Amino acid sequence: MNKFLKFILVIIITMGSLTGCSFEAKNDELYNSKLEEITVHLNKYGESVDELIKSPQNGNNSTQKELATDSTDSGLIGTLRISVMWPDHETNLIAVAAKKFQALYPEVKIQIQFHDDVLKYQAQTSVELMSNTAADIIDFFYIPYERYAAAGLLADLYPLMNADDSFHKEDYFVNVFEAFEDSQNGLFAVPLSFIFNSVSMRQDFMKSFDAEFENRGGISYQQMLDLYVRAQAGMEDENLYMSEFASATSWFEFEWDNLVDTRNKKVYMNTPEFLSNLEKIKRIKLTENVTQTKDGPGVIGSGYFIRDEIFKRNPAVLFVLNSSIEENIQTLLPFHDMIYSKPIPILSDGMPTMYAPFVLGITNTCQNKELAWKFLSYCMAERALPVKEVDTNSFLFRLGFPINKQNFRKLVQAVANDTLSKGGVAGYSFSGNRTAVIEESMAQVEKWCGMKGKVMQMDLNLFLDLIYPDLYQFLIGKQTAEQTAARIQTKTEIYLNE
Amino acid sequence: MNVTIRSRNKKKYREWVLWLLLLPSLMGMLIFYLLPFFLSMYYAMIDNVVSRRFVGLQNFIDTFRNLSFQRALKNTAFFILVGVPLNLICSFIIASLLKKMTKLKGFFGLIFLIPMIIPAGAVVFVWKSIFDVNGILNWVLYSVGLPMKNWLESEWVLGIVIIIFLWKNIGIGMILFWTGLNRIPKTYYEVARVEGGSAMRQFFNITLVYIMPTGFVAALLSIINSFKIFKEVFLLFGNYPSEWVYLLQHYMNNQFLAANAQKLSASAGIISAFIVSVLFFFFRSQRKLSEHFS
Repeated sequence: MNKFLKFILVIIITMGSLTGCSFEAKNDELYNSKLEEITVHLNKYGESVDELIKSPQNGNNSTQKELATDSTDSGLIGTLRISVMWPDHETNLIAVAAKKFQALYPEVKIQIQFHDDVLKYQAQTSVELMSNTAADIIDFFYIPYERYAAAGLLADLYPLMNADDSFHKEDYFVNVFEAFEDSQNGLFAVPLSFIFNSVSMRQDFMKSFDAEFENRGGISYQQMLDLYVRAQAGMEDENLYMSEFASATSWFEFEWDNLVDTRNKKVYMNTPEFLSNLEKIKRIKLTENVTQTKDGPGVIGSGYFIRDEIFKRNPAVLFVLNSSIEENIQTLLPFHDMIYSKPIPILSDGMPTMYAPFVLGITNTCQNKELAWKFLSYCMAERALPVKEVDTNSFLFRLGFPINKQNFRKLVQAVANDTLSKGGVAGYSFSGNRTAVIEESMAQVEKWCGMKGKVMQMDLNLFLDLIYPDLYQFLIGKQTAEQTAARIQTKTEIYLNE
Repeated sequence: MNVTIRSRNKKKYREWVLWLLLLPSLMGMLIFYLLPFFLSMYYAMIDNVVSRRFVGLQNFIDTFRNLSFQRALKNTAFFILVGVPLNLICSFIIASLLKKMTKLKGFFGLIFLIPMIIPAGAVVFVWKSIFDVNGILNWVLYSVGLPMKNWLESEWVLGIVIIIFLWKNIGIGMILFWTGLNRIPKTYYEVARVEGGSAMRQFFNITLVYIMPTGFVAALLSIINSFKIFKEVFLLFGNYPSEWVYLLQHYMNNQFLAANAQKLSASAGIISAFIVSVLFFFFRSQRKLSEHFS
């Protein structure tokens, strides 16, 4: 009988090791087939980029090559696995950078796994992190990286950054890095691009309600809500819309820090002030482009001069959100007869709020963190941007401002140029020298992006999913404010204490 | 002597065949249950999957101290303590009534078994259409002039979950009790009647005694099925339901989403210990009662 049990044990071990081998082989097959696919697409894109690198218009495009030849890292060797939430491979900065990085360092092999389903990506990333099979670099698109960092699953990037002599912090928006630090001043996620939240307000409304916040450094969402309620009463206009983006959850998004103390796990949602704000939220009338459903609020599209269209089409809209580079720059440029204000930063707890559409991090299971950091810094580094294809550039950075200051200036210049041209075609005029106008706008945006800001946490999406069912019941009149506040308070406490 | 050797060889051969036939199930049990369980206990005793520093029982202690876990444990225990006895009582009553029926016995038995095979999504759809704020129950209340209520968001939500649990699981208990009742010899009742025993005495001294083993099996299955109600609760209320139906599986599910393998494994370990204790208590009680009645 003992011999028989030993025999069974041998079979189990053999089967286990065979299964492991075939799984690894399958994994390699998947990565390799994906990489082949990317290479075919990139060859077409790369040719056009190579031409532009040689073009005299791109004065600074030799910087990357210089960096490479001056670098002491010519001996970089290893394999990197990267997981990216991005369905369109051709306009993905990671794919573009991977190709060039491998050309610079032939001993480095980069395998990229692309995903196009957010929920599947979240679940898969969670499983991989827990089972130690996660990629070396992870894209934190809609991923609550703060929790993973707290669980020790992500590497602190500051030691890697400080040990890298070729990485010069002054070339980047360090204020944005600082905004991403955790409570222990560690950096576990680095943004490749970022956006400051801002709104534009109707000029006539600002004057009549003494609401010239563009000169006051910013406006909080609470102030926007109070202004809206005051305007509703003052103008006696039932059809007055706060904003095309305002829904019940927007207030929670921006006032999160005043409602929840995550460090001490305290929630302040059962206060008279909160109840009063709930009643105000209920008064927000949604524009035709946003619908409130039990699954969450809908979303409006964006594009060039859409701000002007929204204000013109609907005189009752008070605020419009500027959510992309084009929108921010368009509202900043001094076109004549614009009925809206320049961008006003949305504040939370006195600080401008921002979010980062493109955030990456290195997992602690990565065997070669230095190589992973080198690649990340290469992605962030200054690069040639095809001037003609502004949209491609924008998508390269997922519609955010690049973290590298030179890339930032190039992109802002290209977008400002493009906007002025499109404005001219669309009938919007401006006075003054084109170059001067662009320089002035760029300086303004750069000053603004250099502010100390506050990042809207990814955890917020989980929190909003949690509270929305009760909020919806309140909004449709099936639940009182007191019941809603009590339920949301309890659910949030459970969530924080988990 | 030859005969003895031959019979010994035959016995050994039969043993080999027995183990060979059991091998697939044993391997499955080992690979898919035991190994993952021991692996998860290992995860429960380290600080994280990267540094793998041994921390002993600290994760278990932290889990016990966690307020959300305590709330989930309280809700789950309350649900089991109320739902399981109710399920047993209702199953027994229905089985007794079915036993007394002379016509359409099979048809009514089938009616109670059908909920067991309905998928969770369909179950949720049915009950939501009854208890939703725009559901059938509120429509009835409105028709008779009574105040309506958002049942799924009210303090009655645990009652609704218990109703769903009963509706889904009465069938299995009913079948077990029906079988158990049919196995009690009729002569015992006849003798009791002849000797002047009342219906109540017959129930306590004959029915209850002989149905006890079946009752234990039904109770065990009921407890196991009580953990499966999480499917319906999750589909109805999502990751964060109201405070009255936040169950242990919600806590574990959320730890999985937060990639916290340590808390997930620790809570799984605690639940396993709880279930093993309950089973141990069950089997011990059953043995003692059987000895007492025999």
